[in-house]
Amino acid sequence: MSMVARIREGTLVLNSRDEYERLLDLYPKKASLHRAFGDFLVKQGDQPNAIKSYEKASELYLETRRSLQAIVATILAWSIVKPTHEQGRVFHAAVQGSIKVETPLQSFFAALSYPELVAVMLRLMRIQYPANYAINRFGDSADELFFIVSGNLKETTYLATGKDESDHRASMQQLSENDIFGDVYPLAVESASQSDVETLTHVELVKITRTLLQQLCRKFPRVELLLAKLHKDPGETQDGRVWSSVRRFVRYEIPTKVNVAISPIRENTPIIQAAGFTKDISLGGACIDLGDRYLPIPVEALKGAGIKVTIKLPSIDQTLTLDGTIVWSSASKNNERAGTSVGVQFGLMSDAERNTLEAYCSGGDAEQNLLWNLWDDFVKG
Amino acid sequence: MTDNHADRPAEPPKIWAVGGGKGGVGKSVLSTIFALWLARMGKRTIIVDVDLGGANVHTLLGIKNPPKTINDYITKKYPTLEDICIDTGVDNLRLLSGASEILSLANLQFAQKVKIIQGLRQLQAEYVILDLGAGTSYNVLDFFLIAQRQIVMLTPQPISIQNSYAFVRNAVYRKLSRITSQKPGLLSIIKSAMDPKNELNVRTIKELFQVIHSDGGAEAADFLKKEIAAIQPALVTNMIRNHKDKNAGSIIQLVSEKYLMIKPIDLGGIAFDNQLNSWVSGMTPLAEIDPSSEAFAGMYNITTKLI
Repeated sequence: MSMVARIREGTLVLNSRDEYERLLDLYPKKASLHRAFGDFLVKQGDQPNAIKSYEKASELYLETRRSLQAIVATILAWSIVKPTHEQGRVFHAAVQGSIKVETPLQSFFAALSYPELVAVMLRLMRIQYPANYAINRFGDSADELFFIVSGNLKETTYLATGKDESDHRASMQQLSENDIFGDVYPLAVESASQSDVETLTHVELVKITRTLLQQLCRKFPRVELLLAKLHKDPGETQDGRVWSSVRRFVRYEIPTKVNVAISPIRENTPIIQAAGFTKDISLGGACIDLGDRYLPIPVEALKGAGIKVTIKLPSIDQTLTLDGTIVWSSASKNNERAGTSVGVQFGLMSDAERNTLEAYCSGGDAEQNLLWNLWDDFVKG
Repeated sequence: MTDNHADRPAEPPKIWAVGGGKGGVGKSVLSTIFALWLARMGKRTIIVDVDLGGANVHTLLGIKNPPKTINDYITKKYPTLEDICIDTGVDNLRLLSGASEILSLANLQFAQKVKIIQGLRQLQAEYVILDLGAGTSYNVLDFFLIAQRQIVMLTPQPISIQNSYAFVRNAVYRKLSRITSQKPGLLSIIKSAMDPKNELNVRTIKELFQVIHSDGGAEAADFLKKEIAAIQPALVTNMIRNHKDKNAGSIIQLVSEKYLMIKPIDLGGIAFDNQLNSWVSGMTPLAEIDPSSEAFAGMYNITTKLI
C-alpha cells in the first residue's frame, strides 16, 4: 500500500508539519501527498497554507491527467475561500487542457463548459469510508451516483439468467480510482441497485444525488447528454457494468512469462493449457500473447471463457496465480508471425496478491525479469 | 624515429570498440583477434588498450613491457598518439598500450579523455580497435560511444547477459545525458529516468520520450529519438558450448528493443575453444596461434560481417 494511502487510512500517522515537509522534500511531485498535507493543515486551522497545498495537488493531478482528483482538490480549496470567476475560468481551462488521452470520464469533464463544470462541482459531495464497508446492497433504492477518487472497492453485479427473477449470475469486479457506480440512469426512472458495492480499502468518493442531478440537467440539458454517453445499455455489457470508466488501472508494458489454463464456455471442450507472454499488465487485467500455438477452438470462441493465469515473477522468485475472464480475443500478427492474443480481466484478488502484483508492476525490475524469463526460455531450457 | 606509415589514409580511421560490462568474457582476447584478422586482410590497424586500469593486450601480443604508453601522451612526453604506437611484429598491426602504473590514469579526467579521443581520430590507420575495460564507468562508455562499430561481448551466463544489458542501457542513458547536458530541464528528467525505480514511473526509453514530449519538448523528443537510433551495438557471444548458448545475444536484442528503443545486431557466437584457452594461459602470443583454431575461424566470420 502506498504511503499516502496509509496516511489516509490512518495506519501511518504524521503528527507534524515538519514530517510532511520532510516527505514533500523527498517527493515534491506527489500530488496525493500535497493533498494529504492540505487535509492536515485544515485540521490544524492553517487555512491559507491548506489552500496552497490543495492548489499544488490540483496542478500536479492535472499534469498526470487525473481530472477527477484535481477537481476534488480544487473543491476543497474553494470550500475555504470562494474563487473569483477568473480563478474558476483558469481551472476550467486547465481541466480542458490536461486531457491528452481521451477516456470516458476525462471526456465527460473536459466537455463541460465553465458554468456546467462549476455547477457539477457545487453539487458533488465528498465522502470517505473505511475498508470492508457496504455502500450499496442489491435491491436497495438507487438514488446516488458515485465517482471513486481513491481506494478500491468490490462490486458484485447480479445479472438475470432465466425467466425466473430469482435466477441470477453474479459477476464480481474490482473498482478503483476513476470508476463510477450507482444505478441512477435514466434519471427519470426510479430504480434499484443492481449490485452490492463494498469497500476493500479505505476509499474517498464524491457523490451526487439523483435529485441534484435532475435539477442540474434541467438547468444544463447538455450535462444529461454527456451522462448518457458515459452510460451503457446493460444488454451490451459482459460484466453487467453500466458505466463506462477510464482505464481502471495503469497498464504496464511489461513482458512477463505466463502459463494459462483456459476453461472454454462450450461444454465438452477440454481445458486449454498454454504458455505466453504479457504484452501489458495491470491490477485489472492483462493482454496476453499466446503465440502461434494450436488452439482446439476458434479464436473468437475464447471470449467469455474462464482463465487461470500463472505469472512468474522472477525478481521475487514467486508465482502468482490469478483467476479471470477472457474479455476479448483476436488473431494477432507480430513481426509477420500469426498468433493469438487475449484480453484478460482479473477477478477479485486477495490483498496479498494485489500488493504483490502492484509491487511487480510499479517496480523497476521489469527489464531484469524479462532477461531472466528469456534466459529460462532461450538458453537454459 | 622512423615512420613506416607515411602513406597516410585521407580519411580518419574507422573505430571499433569492444566492451561488455563484465570482466573475463574475453574482450581483450577477441579484440586482439579482431585486430589480427584486420591486419591479415591488409588493413592498417591499431589496437588500443583502453583498459587503463588493467591493460593486458601487450601481454597477449607477446610484449612484456611496452616502451611507450598512453600515459606518455597524457603527460606530454609525446605530442601525438601516433608517436607512442608500438610495432607488434605483425604486419599492419600496431599497439597503443594503456599499461600504466599510474593509478590516476584509470580515472581519466574529462580533459584527458577528450585529448585521447581527439588523438584516436587522428591516428594513421584504417581501423582502430579499442579494447575497453570492464564495468560501465563514464570513461568506458564514452570510448564505446565514439566508435562506429560498438561491439558488446558476452558469454552465455546469466550474469554476463545481465551485465551486458546494463552496459548497453547505461550507454544509451549516457548518450542521452551527454547530448542534453546543456539543457538542465531535459537532463534532470533523463537523470531521474536512469533510476529503474524512478518516481516518474518511466520504465522504458519510449515512456521517457513521451514524458519529454508531453512536457512541451516534442522537438527535443524527436531529436533524441534520432540520436538513440544511431546506437547499434553488435553483440558477440563468446564461449559457446551448445546451440542454445547462441541465443544469449537474442536476449539482449529483445530486451533492448523493448526497453531502450534501439536495435542491436546479433552477430552470433564464438565457440568455446579449449586450445585458445590453454594458449592464452600459457602466454603464447596470439599472433603465433594457428588461425584455423575454432575461435579464430569464428572471429574471421564476425570480422568480415563488421567491415
